[in-house]
Amino acid sequence: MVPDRVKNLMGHNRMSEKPKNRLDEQIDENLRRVYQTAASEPVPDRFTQLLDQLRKAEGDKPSSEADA
Amino acid sequence: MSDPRDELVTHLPAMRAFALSLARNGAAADDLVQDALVKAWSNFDSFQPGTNMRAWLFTILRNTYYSLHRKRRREVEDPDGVMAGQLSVKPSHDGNLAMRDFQTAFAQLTDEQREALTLVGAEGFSYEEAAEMCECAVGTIKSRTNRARKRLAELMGLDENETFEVTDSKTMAVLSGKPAA
Repeated sequence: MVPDRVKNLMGHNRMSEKPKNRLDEQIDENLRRVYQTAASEPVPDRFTQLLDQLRKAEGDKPSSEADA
Repeated sequence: MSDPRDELVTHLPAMRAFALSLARNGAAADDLVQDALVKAWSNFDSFQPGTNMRAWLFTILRNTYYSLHRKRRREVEDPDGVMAGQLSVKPSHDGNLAMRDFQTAFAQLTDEQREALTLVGAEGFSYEEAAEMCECAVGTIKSRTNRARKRLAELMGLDENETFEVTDSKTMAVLSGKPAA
């Protein structure tokens, strides 16, 4: 018997209700691999430039007009 | 340097990965990230300090996707190098799914299935967090992730009789009537 709060701790980031079968685990493992590959791509300059622009635009005028 | 917005940049790689899982096309994904980033910046006062910024950003991103997607459906329907025809090849059961087959199958899932599986299975959000981000019930997220895994297994022709109710005839139907290799 495992108390719910312990199950919740154990199950953090995992399927806690029922043990996953091998196939589900394999699917999640591949999913994470694909996702991690995408998430480890270098971020193109356009995004850091965009953030710089947004910051600059805000410095030039009151923040309430920043999105105008 | 205590501006909380400085943290935005650290979530960019994850935002791009999440956007890619939704849009399935690199260019469309980056446009999505750009739109979401501008929205996040101009609505930054709606972010509650101390809460999960990634969850907040992902919520903006998926809302942006769904509002754009209704307008642009036809433009984003061609995923990068993804050919449905590839699905008629059954992967060999070597204990490791072929990555390309996996990505091809993943791209065939519904928006809601890709989203749920990415948030829970890949990014590691709890069902509760994912439900909040998707504005749906926790049970809905659970059934979406379960159906997504099941559908992936079907699409890739994977069949574990003891755990999946995928019959041979169903699998064959998915493999578009071609004889199994």
